[in-house]
Amino acid sequence: MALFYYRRREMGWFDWLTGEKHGTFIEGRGSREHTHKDGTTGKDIYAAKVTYDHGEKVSEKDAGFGHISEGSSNPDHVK
Amino acid sequence: MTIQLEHKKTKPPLHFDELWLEVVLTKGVLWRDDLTRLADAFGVEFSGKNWKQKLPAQEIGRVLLFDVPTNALLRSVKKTLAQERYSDLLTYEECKTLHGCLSKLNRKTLIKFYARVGSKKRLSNLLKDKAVEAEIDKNMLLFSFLQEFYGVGSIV
Repeated sequence: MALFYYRRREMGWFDWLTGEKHGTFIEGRGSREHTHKDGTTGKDIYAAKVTYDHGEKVSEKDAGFGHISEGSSNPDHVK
Repeated sequence: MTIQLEHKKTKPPLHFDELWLEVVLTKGVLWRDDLTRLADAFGVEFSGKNWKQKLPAQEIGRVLLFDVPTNALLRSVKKTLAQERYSDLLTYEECKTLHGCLSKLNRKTLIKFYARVGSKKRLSNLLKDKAVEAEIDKNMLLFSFLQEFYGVGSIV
């Protein structure tokens, strides 16, 4: 029931039925693999705050939760 | 862990430098060749051949934002933006002054202001939807205004 309510509030009845996102969502993002100055290699994983208008993305920015460097020898670095 | 969660709950407005760098590096303000030059300068290299020609510019900017110390990155980006090719754009200092004025306004006023002047009409209309409006925080609004300052209102 809680999940049903959550989906209804986030997406609206019509959007829920059509499967279109409507509102602001937190989504995972990942960068391409890259090498740093010190020779370490990795991918940066972060969260983005994305706003949709009936399925169309209208805004996206870093959610500000920091990032994780996957595959790096220093995986804990968060800026 | 608890402290971290509490911090997120009451997240203060982001520092101007972080917002400004995110807009300039990831929303199409800097030209691709300048972004690749910055990547070279900071020793960041992506996998795959021809990444300098093929990789979306915002991805280069995003990794610079994450992996380069903010102060060093800020110095280099300000220097890049001081080139003749960007002479019609607002400088870091001009943007900071505008941001300072806007950040004094409350969220409701910013929403009304953006709805009147924002070039992203779908976002402006969305702000009239009460349920969605409640989810838009001050950082997102200030970020949208910064994009407007550079004429990069569209999604990149």
